[in-house]
Amino acid sequence: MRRSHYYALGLLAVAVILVSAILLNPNSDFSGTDDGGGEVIGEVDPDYQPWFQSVWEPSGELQTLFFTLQAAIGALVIGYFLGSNKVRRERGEG
Amino acid sequence: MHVMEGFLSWEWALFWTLVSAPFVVYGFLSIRKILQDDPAQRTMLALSGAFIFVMSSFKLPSVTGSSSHPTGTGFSTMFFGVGVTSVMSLIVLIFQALLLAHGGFTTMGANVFSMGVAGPFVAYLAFKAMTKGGVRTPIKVFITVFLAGMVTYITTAVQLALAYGLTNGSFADSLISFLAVFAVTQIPLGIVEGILFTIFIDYLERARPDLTEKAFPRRVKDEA
Repeated sequence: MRRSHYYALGLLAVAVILVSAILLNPNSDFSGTDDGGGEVIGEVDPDYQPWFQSVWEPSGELQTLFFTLQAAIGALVIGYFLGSNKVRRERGEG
Repeated sequence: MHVMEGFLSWEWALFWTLVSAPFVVYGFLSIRKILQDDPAQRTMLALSGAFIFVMSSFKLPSVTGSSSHPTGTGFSTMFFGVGVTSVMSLIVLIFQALLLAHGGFTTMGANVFSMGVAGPFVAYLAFKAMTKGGVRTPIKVFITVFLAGMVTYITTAVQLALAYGLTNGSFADSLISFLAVFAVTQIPLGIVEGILFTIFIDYLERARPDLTEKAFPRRVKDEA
């Protein structure tokens, strides 16, 4: 098997794992584990009151924006690296 | 893995901050030293931070019906160890606490400990042991990355069980409840993260052996 076939197989496995998560839970809203942890805290210690609030809480739309920004910053660096590698190779420096 | 803002008593907040602080300070000094002495490593530092940014921005669905973040810390752990990874984690956790209300400043110490110290620490030990034992690169990368994320979430569960279960005597019960939320959800996501990094390291070893040499020394027979 060629190397690219292994890569494709790996990516396929990633897709299967993520898609099966959705298929196995058709009615789930996939809330975050942070909130799930908060719910357990409510069961373990119902009287607990958080003593400090987030300095600022973005709305759902803004949250999407900032998560995208976070991913974009990282992806930009990785993309730059991959691109510069390709150039090196083409120039025979790699 | 984020302990939410205000959800740890100030005693625990202080405790985890004090435990994490030495690692972060050591990490800052290491980064400064790397940038001064070995500019070639700058690329790898940038990639380490970039992967933590990208991976921890994803909220992936898990078979448990909830979703969670990969940590992306395995890459940084393999190349730079715990100190540097704790600094990278601190940076992304500040970003998320400030702009996303994920985690918080009172729980920063606890979150840096789980994501930047405990997970990378266990993963790094495993990485070193597997290197010594001659484990093949793809398996080694997969296990290291999986552990870095997994142990992070187990640590969060332990932190919450300590903070909430210890006082009313339900430590063991609450630990199981917290593990059910954090750790079980993370298993498939850890596998996903492990596969992605295994592919990237394989690519990197071929494309830029000069950069991977440090963590993945080439075997002599490969060079002959």
